[in-house]
Amino acid sequence: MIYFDNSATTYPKPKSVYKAAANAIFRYGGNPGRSGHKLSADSGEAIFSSREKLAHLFNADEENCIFTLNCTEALNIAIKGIAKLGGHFVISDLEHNSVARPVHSLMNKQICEYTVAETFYEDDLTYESFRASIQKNTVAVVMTACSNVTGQLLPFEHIAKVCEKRGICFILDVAQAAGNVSIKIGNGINIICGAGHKGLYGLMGTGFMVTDGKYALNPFSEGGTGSLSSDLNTPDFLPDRFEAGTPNVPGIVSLGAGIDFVEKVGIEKIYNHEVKLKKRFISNLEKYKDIKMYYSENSGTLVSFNIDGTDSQSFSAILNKNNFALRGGLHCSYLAHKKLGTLNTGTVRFSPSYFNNTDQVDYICKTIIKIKNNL
Amino acid sequence: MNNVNITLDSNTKAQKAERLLKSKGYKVSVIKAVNEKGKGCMNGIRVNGDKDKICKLLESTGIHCR
Repeated sequence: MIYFDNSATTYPKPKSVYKAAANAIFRYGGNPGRSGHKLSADSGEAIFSSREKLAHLFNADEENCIFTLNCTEALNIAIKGIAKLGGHFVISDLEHNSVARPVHSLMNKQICEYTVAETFYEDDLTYESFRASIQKNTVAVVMTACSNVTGQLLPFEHIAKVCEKRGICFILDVAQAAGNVSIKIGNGINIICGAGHKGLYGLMGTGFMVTDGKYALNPFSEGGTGSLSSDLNTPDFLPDRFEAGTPNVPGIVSLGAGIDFVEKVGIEKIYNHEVKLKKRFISNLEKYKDIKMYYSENSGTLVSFNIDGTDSQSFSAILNKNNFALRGGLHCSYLAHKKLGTLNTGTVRFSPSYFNNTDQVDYICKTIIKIKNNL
Repeated sequence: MNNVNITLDSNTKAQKAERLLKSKGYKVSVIKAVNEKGKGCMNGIRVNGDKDKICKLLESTGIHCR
């Protein structure tokens, strides 16, 4: 199978990640930070090692790097942690449901309101749109660094600075950007939420929240932390406040190995490789009037597309029969597809990784042309 | 020099303290130990050195010694 669904999760992973995960299953059998025996201590050390790598990647303190089940959980911790009665959120019109649903849920419970700020291909217009959406009672701006439908990179650094000046928390969803774009905590970026299993090449079941520690968040899930067990109150220090329960040790170790891989190859090299594949895909297909493509000209590494007269799920099913793995549908991004006008059809998404090559791109393009001509 | 147990907030703090002290040449390991007041298992480090001096160093980096 030729895999182009890396926005959902990257596949394959680097060999070093498989090795690290397998080693962790055998070696790190103790529950980290719980017991005094060597197995527990070794697991604790392994977790901390991955935490250090995450901290280095985002230029954060180790304690401010929290491991989660996935990016969705991290975003829920951040959004519901910062929410307060009568508050207001600003989100973009490209947000994944992992941002849109928590804020919508807060609105349904009459805790907070929210505004969807329009985005544009011109960064200045996007910036103005966000600025105009901020209200007196805005508690946070939550935005994606990169759309999982169009691949557009948003001007998050600029918008973060506005939030900083206004004393508003800025939460950045880096699910599609981590490993492709260099992002650091600070300069107005207060909280970064990401997936461990996409551009950072860790296993599924890993994610993270990185904070600058400026904003106190209510705990999301409470329980055993292996610290201050005689106190019924959840610890007020990080990462324990947000890491109740047994962590996914093999997953976290795999994430550490994935970060090592990304840092070794280089974020810029990975990004440039994927952009090259994206551009080849576009240039192979752009002359066909019955293929409509949605992508950002100047940024991002993915392309969504539709064939006239077909729906995306049916077309991706045919691609699957031809041994290509792509995702069709709404990509858990109602807002983005509403913006594109593709709610009825969805789109098929081409999202390459560092492990795809130009031959594979040429092959899928030939196959798309062959399939559409035979519909 | 004797080995001393220093109780810290969490396992993560203990890991961080271990890294720091090892870089300064101390012999140190992360432990779960009964603390000096016998209050039960706590996160901490076991380190060969002067406790006051080490605690001062840790506190200066934001690692609170209980």
